[in-house]
Parts: sequence; structure tokens; C-alpha cells
Amino acid sequence: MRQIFALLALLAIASCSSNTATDSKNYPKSQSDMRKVKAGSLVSDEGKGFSIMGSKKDDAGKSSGIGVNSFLWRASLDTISFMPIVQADAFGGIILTDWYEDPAAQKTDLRERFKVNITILDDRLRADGIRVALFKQKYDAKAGWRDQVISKDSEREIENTILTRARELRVKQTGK
Amino acid sequence: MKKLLSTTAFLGALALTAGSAEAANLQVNVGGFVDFQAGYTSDDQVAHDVLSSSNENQNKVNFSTDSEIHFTVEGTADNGLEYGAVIELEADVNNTDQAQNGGTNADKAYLFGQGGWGRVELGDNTDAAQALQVNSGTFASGTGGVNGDFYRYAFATSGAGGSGFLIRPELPLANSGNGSTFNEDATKITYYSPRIAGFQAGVSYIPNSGDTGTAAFSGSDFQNVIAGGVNFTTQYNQFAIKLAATGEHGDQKSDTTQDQHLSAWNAGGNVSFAGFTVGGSYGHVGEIAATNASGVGGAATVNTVNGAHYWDAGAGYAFGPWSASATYLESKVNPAGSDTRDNLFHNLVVGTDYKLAPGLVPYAEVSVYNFNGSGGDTTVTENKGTAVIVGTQLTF
Repeated sequence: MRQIFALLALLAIASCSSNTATDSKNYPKSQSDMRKVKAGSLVSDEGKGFSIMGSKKDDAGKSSGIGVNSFLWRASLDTISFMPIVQADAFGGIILTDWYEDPAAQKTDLRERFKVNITILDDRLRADGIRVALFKQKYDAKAGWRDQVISKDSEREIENTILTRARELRVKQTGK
Repeated sequence: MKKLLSTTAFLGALALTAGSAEAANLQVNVGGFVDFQAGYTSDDQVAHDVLSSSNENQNKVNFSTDSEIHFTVEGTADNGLEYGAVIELEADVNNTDQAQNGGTNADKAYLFGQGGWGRVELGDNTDAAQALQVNSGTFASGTGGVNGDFYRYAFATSGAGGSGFLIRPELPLANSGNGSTFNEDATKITYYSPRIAGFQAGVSYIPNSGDTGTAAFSGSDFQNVIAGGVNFTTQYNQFAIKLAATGEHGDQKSDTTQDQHLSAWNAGGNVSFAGFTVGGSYGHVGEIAATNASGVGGAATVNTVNGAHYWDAGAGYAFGPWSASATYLESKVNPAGSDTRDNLFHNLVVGTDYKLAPGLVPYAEVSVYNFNGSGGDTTVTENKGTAVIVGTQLTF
């Protein structure tokens, strides 16, 4: 319990607020406006005309090279760069790390190791576009490595760290 | 403590990579539409050459265009607030937009902010009652069936069907286009709730129903108008259901007619199944005024009446890019005075459209209408006939 608390406290420094999943399209319009929306747009898939300022592509981190949001992808790799990565699939949006035991903690008699699975679910930079699964094992002299229960909050905090990093990357790239 | 150490080290490594950043993501989009229509009118008024000079003939063929350029600014703040502004500029050659515009150059202009808490709109935009309502125009093809553009060709100027009739399934604010008593884009504040369990509510506050953008200090419009409603959508097996109830209330400014509040409501629904949609609505307008968007280029008119009500119903079918619908409206307006008979109006509109490409929609519509006066109301002119509209709309 204290571990979880410590984890949350630390990550709180880096935590960020989450995006709400609202969209102008969901709000009611007059019938004549809806007719225009239904007709679609000659120049845009989203029916909003063409952009004259602010490049949405850069902002959103959409990229034809990979199947998921590039900011989230790079931020995820950055955030867990200190851990060994077993698998990273940019098209499926999956990053799996190997078990990682902090060298500093190895000296103690209480040994534990972590593993992180990151799934990027969206090609947009949004809070619900990333899911983190965190695993922890503790070493038992008799039974070897044993799985430990870990709080969902810890996973949330890692997600927030990644989201903050993604936002930084976006700011760096787009200047806004 | 030891326990704490290892996790701390792990998390510390994560935290090192993180920082904080204030950033907004602002984008400006340009869109709009151009709509061209050819109309053919065959009704009593046109046939009898009702123009002021008896040696002029009314042409049965009329063209009309409607075009707008829309600027949309949208941004998202880091705290999740989405904000922006919309300016819809008129791009019509004659600077009037088929009674949708009072000669000014913008159709709508408003700011908005939204988040998980809902959406607030500040400025000149559709009111919540009009935006939330459901009737047969919700699914109608072509220009919108009984809530569409037939009135541009039904010869309705000079009182022929102009005032004293209720010709669209709308409440007074929306029905009046851009009149000076009611303006559908009157400056207002609107709040929409998020959609929760299928329900969405909205309410608009309009201090002066005829003011757009500036304080006109007009004495003839309504004050402290509240327009709002509740809209419900759900999916039940293969059936999609939409229901809405909306209303408007406002106060008279005139001392002599103080009791004649603006008071109107409507309720309607749609049910869709496998491409088919049926639906309709019923509306009631209290003792104030029947309002009416009149003919091409004409301004809306408002008549003091004893009351009015309407109902509309329709059926539509959509198959891929093609859709067709038939809608019907019947309304009764009890004119001012002691006349117990009503001004009747009914209109059957059959329309179809085809989405040729994204943003390119040709359509055709036939409207058969009848303006039938009460007999005692000398302010109305009777008319009946048919209008055919063929047009193409391009949105970008």
C-alpha cells in the first residue's frame, strides 16, 4: 500500500489533466446545418472545410509511417527507455518490456521487478488513447519470483507520465 | 522503507522523463456551401399575375442561389477545455439570403466552449429549441420537406400566404427567419448538457428576440425569451429512436398587449429501421403571433392571432447515397378578432436527393400546397398550387 502511495506521490509531479472526449459534432444543430453536415465536404473527410491556419496533422501526430499516434508512440518509448524492450510494434501500437529490476534495489534483501505493457489505441493524441498494464513480482527465497497485486492507480500514473511527455514532444515539434 | 526504495527508484526513472507543458492546439478551418435551385411555380397567384402592375406577367421559372463561407476556429487547452468561434459569412450576390438574412453580411457568429460539462455558445446562433427539435424535417430529403425551401417558390409575397398562415413545423423564433420581431439568430447565450443516457437538454436566453449583435432598443420584439428543450435518442434492437420536446417563452414589451406572451411548444419523434424512417411532430403556438418566412428575398412577418397549432408527419427511405421522403404539414391559425374559423394551410412535399460525391448533392422536390383563409380574415390571400425545385448543393 505504501508503495502505491509513493508511486502516486512521485508521479503526481508529472501528472497531467486528461482530455474530455467531447466533439463539436455531437452538439445539436439546426436542420439546415445538419443537412450540410450530412452532405459531407468536398475537401475534407471531417466535413469542416480546409485548414488555413494550424496544421492539424502535426498537432495530432498522425503519421502514415506508423499506425498509431506518433507522439504517444515516442513518448511511450522515451518514458520506459530505461527498461529492456522485448517487443515494439508501431502498427499494432504495442510495447512490451522485459522484467526490469532496479539495480539500486538489488543490494537489499527485498527484491522486486517490474514489467510494463503499453497499448496505444488511437491515432489521435488523447488521454484515452493509451493503456498501460503494470506487473510486479517479488522475490521469495523459497518460491522464487511471485506475482504481486498492483493498483490500477499506478498504471494511471504511468499513463499520465507518458501523456505529459507526448504533450512536450508535440510542443517541441509544432511550437504549440 | 526498503520496500519504498525500489519502487521509488523505478518511479523516479519514469518521472525524470516527464515535465509540464502549457500548450494549446488552435486551428482555423474554412468551409461553406453553394446551393443552386431552379424553381417552377404553378399556383393561383402566379397564374393571375398578382404583380402590382396589371400589364406585367409573373414568370413561373425562378432561380435562386444560397451561398455561405464558414470560418471555424477550434482549440483545445491542456486542461481539456475545447474552445473556438464560428463565423458564417453570407456570400450571396444580392446580400439577402432568402429570408435567412436581414441584409447583413453574416448568418451566424458565436463563440463556444465545451468540455465534459457540456457546451456553452455565446453569440448569434440557432437557439436550443430549434437545434433540439425533432420533426419530419429531421430526416426529409431534398431541401428539408415541409421544413425546406418550398416557400421560396410558393408565391408568398404581398400577403399571399405571407402572414396569417403557419407554413413550417417550427416555433416562432425559428420560423421567422431574420425578422425584426423574431430573429432565429438573435444574440443569445445557450447551454447544452452533455448527452447522458441518451438525454440531452439545452436552454437559450435571448434578452431581445429581434436584436442581432447590437442593442436595438426595439419596442416591438419580445424580451427575456427562454427557448429550450430536451432531446432523447436511443437504439432499441434495430430501431433508432429520436424524441424531443421543446418550447419558448417570452414577454411582450408593448403595454397594450402585455398579456400576449410568447408561448409555444412542440413535441416530436422519429423512428428508423433498416433505412426507413417515419416521424412527425405536433406544435402549439399561444396567443401571440403566427410567424412566417415569406417568399424570395422577403422578410418574415408576424401577425397577432388568437393561437395556432400544427402537425406534421412523414416517411423517408435512405439507401446508400440515395434518399427519398414524403412529408406533410397541416396547420391552423385562428386569426385575431372574433372569427372562430381558422386559416388553414397544408403542404405535401415529396423529395429525393443523391450524394454524388462527398459534398456534392443534387436534389429534387415537389411541393403541393394550399393556403386557405378563414373567410373572415381579410389580411390573408388564398393561394394553392405546386412548386417544383431542382437543385444542387455543394459543401466544402
